[in-house]
Amino acid sequence: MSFRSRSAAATVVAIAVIFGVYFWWSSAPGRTSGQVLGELILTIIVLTVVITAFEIVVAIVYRRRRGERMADERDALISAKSARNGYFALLAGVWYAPVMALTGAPSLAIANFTLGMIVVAEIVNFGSRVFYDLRGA
Amino acid sequence: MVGTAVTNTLRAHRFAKGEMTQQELADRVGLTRQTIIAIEQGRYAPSLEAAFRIARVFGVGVEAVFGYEEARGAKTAETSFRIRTRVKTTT
Repeated sequence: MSFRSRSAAATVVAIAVIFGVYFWWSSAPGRTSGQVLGELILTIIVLTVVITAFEIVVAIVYRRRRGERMADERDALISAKSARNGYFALLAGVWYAPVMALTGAPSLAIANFTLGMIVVAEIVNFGSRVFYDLRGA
Repeated sequence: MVGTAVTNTLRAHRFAKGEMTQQELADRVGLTRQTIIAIEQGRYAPSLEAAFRIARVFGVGVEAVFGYEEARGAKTAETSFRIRTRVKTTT
């Protein structure tokens, strides 16, 4: 598995686990918007730290092991196809947010739903990178 | 495995060229080793420019290194034509 694939796989796992914890917290009954906002900020900080630390470790290990070039035409193609898949996932979900707003859903639910769609889109994006890298672009 | 209709004799050419490593070939044509592996395994069809660069390294023409599997290519073209037609009729 290439550097980019490992990095993408780690990102998928990190996003799924960290946002999974966030959604579990925020779905608990009796949560106020202020509490959820605090949890969201904490989630973003933790996610940024975890992904950055992992990227640094993988980059150092891979550069030492072989002087692998960082990206080429295949990486660019994989990146473009994966971003397209992520965009489709985002588009499919985000259309539901106005429907929720119009049907009188609480603002916290709409915010969490939209955030959930962004998380799903990112998982599709990075998951596609791993898929195309292993199975062919 | 998702494959490509473009076939190649990269491995044979590498060995004919003094057992050139995948990394060495990758460095000479400006690709990653992972991409060379993917091309050899038929998981990726290189761009025309990369194909020319690879052929130049071996001192041969592009068609000596790369080929085209008619049956598979026709199937892929048919599938993409069906998808395009379906998209057009739904929009």
